[in-house]
Amino acid sequence: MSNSQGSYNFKVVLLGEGCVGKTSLVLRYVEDKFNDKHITTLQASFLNKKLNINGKRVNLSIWDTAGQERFHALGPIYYRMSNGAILVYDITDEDTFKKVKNWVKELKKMLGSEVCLTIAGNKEDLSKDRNVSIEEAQRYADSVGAKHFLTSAKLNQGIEEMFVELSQRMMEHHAEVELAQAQSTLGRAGSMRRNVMVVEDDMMVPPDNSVKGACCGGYRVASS
Amino acid sequence: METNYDEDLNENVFFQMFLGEHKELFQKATAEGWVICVPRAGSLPKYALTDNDIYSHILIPSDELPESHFRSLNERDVRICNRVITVEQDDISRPYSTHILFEETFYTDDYMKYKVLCVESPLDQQCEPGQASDVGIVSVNTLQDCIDLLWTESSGKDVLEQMDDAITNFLKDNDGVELEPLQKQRDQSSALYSRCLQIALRDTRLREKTTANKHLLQNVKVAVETYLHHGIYHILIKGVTACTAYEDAALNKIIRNVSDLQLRDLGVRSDLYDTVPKAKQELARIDRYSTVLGKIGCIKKTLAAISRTRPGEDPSKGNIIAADDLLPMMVFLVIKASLANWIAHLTVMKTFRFSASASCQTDEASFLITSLEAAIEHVKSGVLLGPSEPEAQWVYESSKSEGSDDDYEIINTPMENIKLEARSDLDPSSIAYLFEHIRVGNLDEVVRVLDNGIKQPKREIDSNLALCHPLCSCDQCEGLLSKVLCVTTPTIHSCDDRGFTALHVASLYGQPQIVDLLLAREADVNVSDYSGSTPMHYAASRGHQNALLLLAHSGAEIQCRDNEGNAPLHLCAGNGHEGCVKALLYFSEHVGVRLDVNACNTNGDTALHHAARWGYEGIVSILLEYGANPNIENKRKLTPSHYAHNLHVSRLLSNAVSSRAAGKSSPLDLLKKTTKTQSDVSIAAIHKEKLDFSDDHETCSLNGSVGEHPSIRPHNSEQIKRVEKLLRAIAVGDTRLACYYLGLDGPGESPQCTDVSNVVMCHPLCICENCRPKTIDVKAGSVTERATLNVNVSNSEGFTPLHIAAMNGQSDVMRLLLDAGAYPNVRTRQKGYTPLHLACQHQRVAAARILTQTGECNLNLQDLRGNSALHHACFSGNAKLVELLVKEGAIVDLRNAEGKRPVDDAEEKMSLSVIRLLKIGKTSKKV
Repeated sequence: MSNSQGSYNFKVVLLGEGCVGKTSLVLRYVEDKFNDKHITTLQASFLNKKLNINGKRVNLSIWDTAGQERFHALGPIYYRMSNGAILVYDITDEDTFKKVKNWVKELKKMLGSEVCLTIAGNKEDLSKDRNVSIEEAQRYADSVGAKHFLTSAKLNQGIEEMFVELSQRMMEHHAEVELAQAQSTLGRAGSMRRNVMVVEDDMMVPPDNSVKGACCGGYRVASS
Repeated sequence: METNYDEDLNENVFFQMFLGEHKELFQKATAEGWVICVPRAGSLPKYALTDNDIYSHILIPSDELPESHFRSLNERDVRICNRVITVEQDDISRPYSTHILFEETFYTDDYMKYKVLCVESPLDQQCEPGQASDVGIVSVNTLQDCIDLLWTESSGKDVLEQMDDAITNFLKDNDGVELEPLQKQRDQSSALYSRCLQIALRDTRLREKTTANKHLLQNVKVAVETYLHHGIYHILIKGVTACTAYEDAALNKIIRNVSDLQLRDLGVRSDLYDTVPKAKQELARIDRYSTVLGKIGCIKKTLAAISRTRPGEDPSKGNIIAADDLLPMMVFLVIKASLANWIAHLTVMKTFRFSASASCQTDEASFLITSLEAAIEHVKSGVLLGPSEPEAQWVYESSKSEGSDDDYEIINTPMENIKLEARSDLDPSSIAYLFEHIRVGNLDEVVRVLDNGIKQPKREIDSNLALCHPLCSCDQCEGLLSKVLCVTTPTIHSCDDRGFTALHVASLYGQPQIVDLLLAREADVNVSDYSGSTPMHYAASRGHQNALLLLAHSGAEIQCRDNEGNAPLHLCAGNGHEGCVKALLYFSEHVGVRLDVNACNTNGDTALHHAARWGYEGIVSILLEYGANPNIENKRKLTPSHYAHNLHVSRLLSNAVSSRAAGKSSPLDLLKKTTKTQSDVSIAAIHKEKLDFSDDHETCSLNGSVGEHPSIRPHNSEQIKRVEKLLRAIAVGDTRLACYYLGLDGPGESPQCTDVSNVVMCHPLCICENCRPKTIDVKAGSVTERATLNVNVSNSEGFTPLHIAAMNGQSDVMRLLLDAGAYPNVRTRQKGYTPLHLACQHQRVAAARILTQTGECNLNLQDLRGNSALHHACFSGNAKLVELLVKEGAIVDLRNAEGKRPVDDAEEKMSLSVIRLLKIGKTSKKV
């Protein structure tokens, strides 16, 4: 959702069966070559990525989910309030593609058109063992209004494009919604939290107006 | 370092200047893939930037050196590692380093892409005059951080003091807010938050700084919110817990019932096993944090504990812990952290994050909360309950959640098929096979296996073996023979490596038909496994009421202790099985088996402690009703009220405490107490006990259940008086008077004085089964005509003339009474004594002999405490009585309600002759 400065916070949830490589996909995307040591648990299942697309800031919060079937029922807890969903399947495993179809149905039912869908066929590096035909996947994606991408976490293929494209679609979608409810500046998320009284002051002061003179020491300068 | 710092680089002065004044350089940098660093807003001194300032922030990747090495445009070596940029200096001074705050990837219209790193302070030292020209990057992670922030950033202690006042006023004004619905609590706390934030922002310095720095503003909001949580936490958590009490109790019930779940059951990655203790320790502390911030930090620490790299392990990418590994782990931790109000804590975190604006719905904190919520939700769904393998049910779960969509392509097998299908990979002769079929309730197969164990081996030796000749002893034949002899088909007594018998398994999985079958085949009801648990313990802890009652009715000890000192009542109270708690209490009440509701386990906890801790309101109230004492302290000196976190339960307890203190117990309570004291009376006291005819309670409980011959109650007060007179006459041995009241002729005369000629009997004096009732009918008719009393009449306590006569050893009267058709097996109401019991208690050998000689007297009837005549005889230590009873065939090893056999009583009394007699009786019986 956009904040006052015209930047967006989007929640993107990753769904798909356990073995399809959701986690490696997203880890590859936010891969931080300046920080190879510390991938904590949190960083592996919750990732932040800042983008700036044509001057518009996009802050992606990418939520990985547990893929085991027995946790299927917990899906709604994770995907509620999400702006985008990436449904990952393994191109060598047809079952995982069926699973994606189930997820699409469920998301459509629960979130309607508010969520932008992307279907990712992962493990493209194993294309010689392909069991899900590109055409079929593409056709299916078109039929549900989703975009289809072929990715490889191993070779780092197609991942960045996928996320940028999804971000653009989420921005467009958001703009449409905003247009539709032009009267209200509140997005979906805002309207759901109307019962919160947040003291929102008007603080649109140029950020370079740095504060002069500090007193009494004791600054908590952040350190690692 | 985790600061969540964010700023819009498009508004960053440095970046604007760079884009504006060095366009060519910028284009070259983006084309070449150079890294652009931008000092965060406010970190730059406010003079015009020189070219060198810009150059020092452009990093060129090196071709030869590793990825992390760069050279800046002003010819300095730069290294980046762990989000820290280090700039080597030209001279010998120390390298200079600063943090990377975030990385932003830019995509432009013309399909250019470049990366910008926002750094905490300028890379060029010359750009940095003072140590800190502004507030720096503050991150608030703990309550202490928040207080520090509010203290140091404001112009004095005023802000905190004013907030303290506001909180105090709030607490004063909102006395009892914890009783309100959640939304109202939230609204009121939220109003307090607004007030406190106003106080904070009224402070001049704070206002100035936050105006300049949005990041600081967000931190101030969090700090205010956290300070406020801390101030009102004690009523906050109380109120929320009251609102979520029922959900929490339901969750606790599930958690308690899956508490023996193992990591592998949940599919937790095995290399994470050793992180569990630490992670559990962290998560269990969540209730000690009084603020939402602290609780979120607690989850974070838990995750950190899970992902802690073990020494000597390569933290390569293959080993990171992804969501797939995280969720099962969280589920396990939620179950094991033994917190009693998970949902309350979760609700606090979800509901009282006032500072989280709409944009924060997607942030890290909400991800953490969601992770916990998902784990709790998974436990709550109950999928983990049921069959020992949690996996066995997941298909059911998915079919339930997707049930409405029939065109789903998953093939959903119906639940029944999965649940009732026994594993087929087991050796049919193994005990595991038997137990598996018991688990799924496959009665036929269980019967077959048990029958096999008895019959098969012998039969096979006889006929089925193809020996060379019947007596052959060649190697081959011997081999065949030994194979048959070594068949180990499990029997009803076999136990597995945990000491489980078939009855344990059947009770554990609540298969009443199988429990019934096993009991019918005389399985030992009180057998215990290695943890000291009997089948009754498992039935109680899993809430299998039917199995429990079957066991109880076949004489299982209802208050035996396992190794932790828990009686079945503890287990069902702690696991929230209200049905079982009631079953035990009612069983004890109606059958008269003693059950101590205040029994303590090895920790000194009573059942009430357990029920209060886990918030089962219904169980608490029923236990209190049955006389549970709310004042008992466990070994940590805590009463049940200390454990009651939920308002409903603590109210019940405090009411009980105060009513106890006032000495006014509820009528039922009073009744229980009397019953209890009565059952506390040792058997020895029975000798002294005089018949107290005024005692009139519990009169109705027995007649139905006891015997085939209920005594006859007098119809009116006139008769009642006559009955009393009759009994008194018998007690003193006035035979004639007794005969008068009963309308009998005196001793020595023939009893059938009335006209019985029209009654068809075997012969005139016959007292066989067929004839006897007829004489009685006739007699009863004639007796009433003559306004006399029936021979089986009883007083209010159920004592018949025969009881009194037997107790007083009036052999003559007894003979008369028996001849006149007195029932020898009639019981008293209150304690269920038969005349034989009384004769034994009072050591009336002659009376006992008369009774046994009637041929109708059942020697093995047990009174309400489970004592048979032999128990009473052994207790009195009368060898002659014992000899008589044993000779007449009384069963020597019946157990009473305390689990004692007659021989135990005798051993206690050291009556050697009795012990010897009992042994003889036992062996002779076996032969």
